[in-house]
Amino acid sequence: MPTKAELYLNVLQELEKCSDDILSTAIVTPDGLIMSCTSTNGVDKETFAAYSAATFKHAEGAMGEISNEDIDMLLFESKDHRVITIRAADYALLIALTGKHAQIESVLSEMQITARKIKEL
Amino acid sequence: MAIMINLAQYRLEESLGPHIVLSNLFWSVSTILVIVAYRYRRLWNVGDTPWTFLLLTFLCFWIRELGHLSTSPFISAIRYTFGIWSAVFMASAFIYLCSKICRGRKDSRIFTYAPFMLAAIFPFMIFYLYLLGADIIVIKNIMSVVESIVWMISSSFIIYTTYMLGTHAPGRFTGVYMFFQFSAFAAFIWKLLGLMESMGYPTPYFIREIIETVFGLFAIASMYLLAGMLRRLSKHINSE
Repeated sequence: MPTKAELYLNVLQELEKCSDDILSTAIVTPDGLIMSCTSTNGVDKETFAAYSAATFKHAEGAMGEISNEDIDMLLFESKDHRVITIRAADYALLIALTGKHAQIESVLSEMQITARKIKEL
Repeated sequence: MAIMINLAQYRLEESLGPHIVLSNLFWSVSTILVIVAYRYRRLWNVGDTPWTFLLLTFLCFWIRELGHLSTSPFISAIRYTFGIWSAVFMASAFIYLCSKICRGRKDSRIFTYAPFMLAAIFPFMIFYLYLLGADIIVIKNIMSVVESIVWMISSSFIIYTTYMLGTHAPGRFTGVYMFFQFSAFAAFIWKLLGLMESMGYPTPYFIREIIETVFGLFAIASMYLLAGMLRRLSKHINSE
């Protein structure tokens, strides 16, 4: 029987196959610890996980103040990159780093499917 | 109306009293916790350097506290050296983490070896003083002052770096850094009072020792949170 770590890595690799513009993906705990991560190009994995989780946490606080609701997805972009974070479960966040020209709808849709798979695991 | 409590009746003014037992107990527990956390270091893969520094911090301070059980001035001088090493490694661990996580700096050999080089100065200092013919009591007193100064400088760095890390960290990591910061505040006050005493402004011994015990308590809290977080994650991802 494969461990959860191996299963998580499989679903991340499947997600990356869906689009060439996905540069890196990770499943992290809300504490910013990596549960599974694919290779990052020049970005330190721990920094990627810690900042993504921290940003999601801050956005969650902001959403709570504004609408009194939980946040499910966070997207932010720079000149060349996008970071998309989706809550996959109470204990897991799914994060993807993409290029600026990635088809956002298809990436989001694939990430939703992956999030459901993570929840089922 | 001031309420005076005679702490002597609780044996809190003696050099070997319950606070020494408590302090030894706390630092033994936190050393065990740091060893537990160290076993899971791959789950918080910030590199081997900060993990080594953290492990050495707790090991050195545990040995320092064991030195309390002896009244020999030579053992005391050695004990202060372990205290100095602990301060150097703790500050180095957080400076390293802060520069890596908050500033995005890469690992460097100088940064890895500099704390060891700094730590190596102090045994040589004892040896040099011994060669100069200084009395072992004088050496002990000098090392005590040096330890106070090194801890005050180190805790200032720890307060700043844990603030930076805590404000950038998510979830329970905020708690980990917060308790480390509290322990650094306690260490700063404890050593400031010790330094003031050596300058002729005495503070009741029990106050310093209680602050030292609080320092140990905060260190346990931070390591308990970190070790617990890593243990839970390990159980989760290694389950089938």
